[in-house]
Amino acid sequence: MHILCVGISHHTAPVALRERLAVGRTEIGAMLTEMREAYPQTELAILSTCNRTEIYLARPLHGHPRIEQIVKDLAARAGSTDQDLMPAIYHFDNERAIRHLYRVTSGLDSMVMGESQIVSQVKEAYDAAQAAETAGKAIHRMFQMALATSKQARSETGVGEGRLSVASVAVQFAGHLFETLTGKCVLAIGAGEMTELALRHFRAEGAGDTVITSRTIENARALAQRIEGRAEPYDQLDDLLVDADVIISSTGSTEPIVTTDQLKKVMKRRKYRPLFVIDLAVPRDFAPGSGDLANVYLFNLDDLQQVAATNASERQAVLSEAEMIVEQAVGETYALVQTGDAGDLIRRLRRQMHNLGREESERTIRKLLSAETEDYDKILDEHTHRLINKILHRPVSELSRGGSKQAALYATALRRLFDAEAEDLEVPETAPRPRPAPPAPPEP
Amino acid sequence: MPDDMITTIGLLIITANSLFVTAANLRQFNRPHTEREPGSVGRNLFILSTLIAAGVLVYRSIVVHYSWAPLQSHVDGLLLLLTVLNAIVLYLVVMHRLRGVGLFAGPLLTVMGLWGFCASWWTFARFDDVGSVPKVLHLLTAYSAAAAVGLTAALGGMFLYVQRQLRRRDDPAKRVRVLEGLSTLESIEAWLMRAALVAFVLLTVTVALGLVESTSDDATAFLIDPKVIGGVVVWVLFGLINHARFAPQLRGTRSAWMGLTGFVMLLIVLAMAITLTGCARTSGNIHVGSDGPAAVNMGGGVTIETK
Repeated sequence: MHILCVGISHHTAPVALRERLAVGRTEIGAMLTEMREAYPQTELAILSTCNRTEIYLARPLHGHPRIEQIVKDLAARAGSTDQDLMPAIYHFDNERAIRHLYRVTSGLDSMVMGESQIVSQVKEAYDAAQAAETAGKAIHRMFQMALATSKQARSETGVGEGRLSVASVAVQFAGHLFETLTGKCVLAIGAGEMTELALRHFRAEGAGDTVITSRTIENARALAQRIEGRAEPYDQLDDLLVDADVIISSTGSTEPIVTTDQLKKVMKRRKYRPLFVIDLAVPRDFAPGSGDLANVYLFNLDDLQQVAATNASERQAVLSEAEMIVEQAVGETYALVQTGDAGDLIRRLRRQMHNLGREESERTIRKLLSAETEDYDKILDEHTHRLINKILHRPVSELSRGGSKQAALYATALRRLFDAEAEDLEVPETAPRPRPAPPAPPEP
Repeated sequence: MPDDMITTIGLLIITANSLFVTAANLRQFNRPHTEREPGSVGRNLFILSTLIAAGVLVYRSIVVHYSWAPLQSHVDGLLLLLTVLNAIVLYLVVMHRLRGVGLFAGPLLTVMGLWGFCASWWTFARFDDVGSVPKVLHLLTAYSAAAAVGLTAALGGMFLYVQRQLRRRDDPAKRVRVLEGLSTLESIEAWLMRAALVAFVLLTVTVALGLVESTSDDATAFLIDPKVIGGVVVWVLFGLINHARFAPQLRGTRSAWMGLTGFVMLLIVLAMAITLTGCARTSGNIHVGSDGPAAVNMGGGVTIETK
């Protein structure tokens, strides 16, 4: 069985091309069925995420589709030519294809190293292949092992642990203060990019009311519209501070916009409810003493960046461990796929040989019934000769193509398989066949 | 020598279990987050401790005391306390209500187990007067309140530790790793308030029953009894913690400290009642023999014989 992976990813293609090649969840089933109809002997699975579109297939060694055919299909899908697509395409075969799938599933090939979203995406790809009945033994083994390997790599090395962006680290800290962010009021002071990113992270964690305030209300309104929050005038800052549970501040002010005394009064008004403050501004928006007030938990950019940097370096450190786990699994899977394939091959081969033998036997019996006794030897020799010829026809014709690498490979295989290594191979003289008794004359 | 070897051995096993759980939790806690094993060892040991404590308590009631009243001596009270505390911690661990609670409850359970072990060796004698229902109830609520106060203190310690980790400015990456193993500040505070409420209710009932059942004729002596004063201080402290629901400035750090202080105060009260004969003599609550106290008054007219 020949395993192939053909696709594009964020490593090779810009987002515009990835978008064109992306296969939606609802389309995957139809695409798989279409490809299965075109290549009935091929097992297929399609993995399509925002960062990659990859086709995994397992087919007989000389079967179809070839890489060029897949590229053509993909190019047609992207509304482009295969020459245009080719520079962005990568392909792996056999162990390299399995390794690639395992690295992808373990997050080792992701844009954010170790991210875990890919696991559910791989699982979806596998489910889709199962639903479309395009997953055979090889695809089953590969995808099941990929998911198991990813789990092992993540749990044993912690490759997915630790957040890498300042915004996600902020959410992580908030998660140690609040049991849940659901329903918590998030206030953003300033409407810059960092604020937007942090707000999006909090929204993704289920934060409730999202309020944006800025000296330029238009900026606040624009951001509020983008993240489905609401904008409030900056002069109401103290009231907004009272209502908020989480504050994200990132203004361009050169002086602190919230002083310790001001926050002290705010805390009293908010009845000392815990307040989580992320000060992303440089210079800082919250006076340094603010963090010492009771029930105020203040984190500045330095704190968050240190955590993100440590997480990033820790991930790099465990990468080799994760790669080792992947490598071990690749070898095992490839052996399993090929062993399972060899079993099928042996069964098919036996059936094929038996069919050949039966056909020839029937022919020979017909001849024997109508033949004279003295022709029996000739007929049986002819039977043997025909059978051997039929069995060896394909291997010998492949071998006699000569010159090619494949022919050399086949020659070696044949020598090994039929123990034909010896130079002075002698065919033993066949003893004269005992003549069978003539058939009894029919009863009158 | 202990009066009943099964009790002593049971308490020794409980103490060893608690110590082992503490050590195992500490070991897990000091490992990197990725190498932590959720394991069931701690959970199984909590189950074992709960079963042993409850089993020995029932055994003592039936075999040692031949009585319907389960609390006949100080050892019984400590066994009840250990049963309740272990069961609560087990619930919190098994139901994943409070991550890391085993680490903070472990030392408390070890101290309590050790105390029970010591009590089984030295102060095992029966209380002299536990015939009436109110007196049995007084003891029952007193020891249950002690369990609730102990839990409040453990949660107070946990709250202060988590808060400190969130506030420290050095090595934030290390702090994140530490915090991964612990519950959120919000949930610790919620459980602290629940434990404090239960403790306050039980303390109120204990004090009320103690007043009702007090046999002291001398009101002044009763009022200056260090145990009564200490008990009232604990009661007031827990009243203040519960008042934090209405006075937010008491919430969080202050409540945690009050819980810890209340627990320490409770330990002092119990220790005073047993050991400080001078104070006890003043209050007239300890029956003094020729060479020291012969029995310790546990309130509500109940005394522990120490001779």
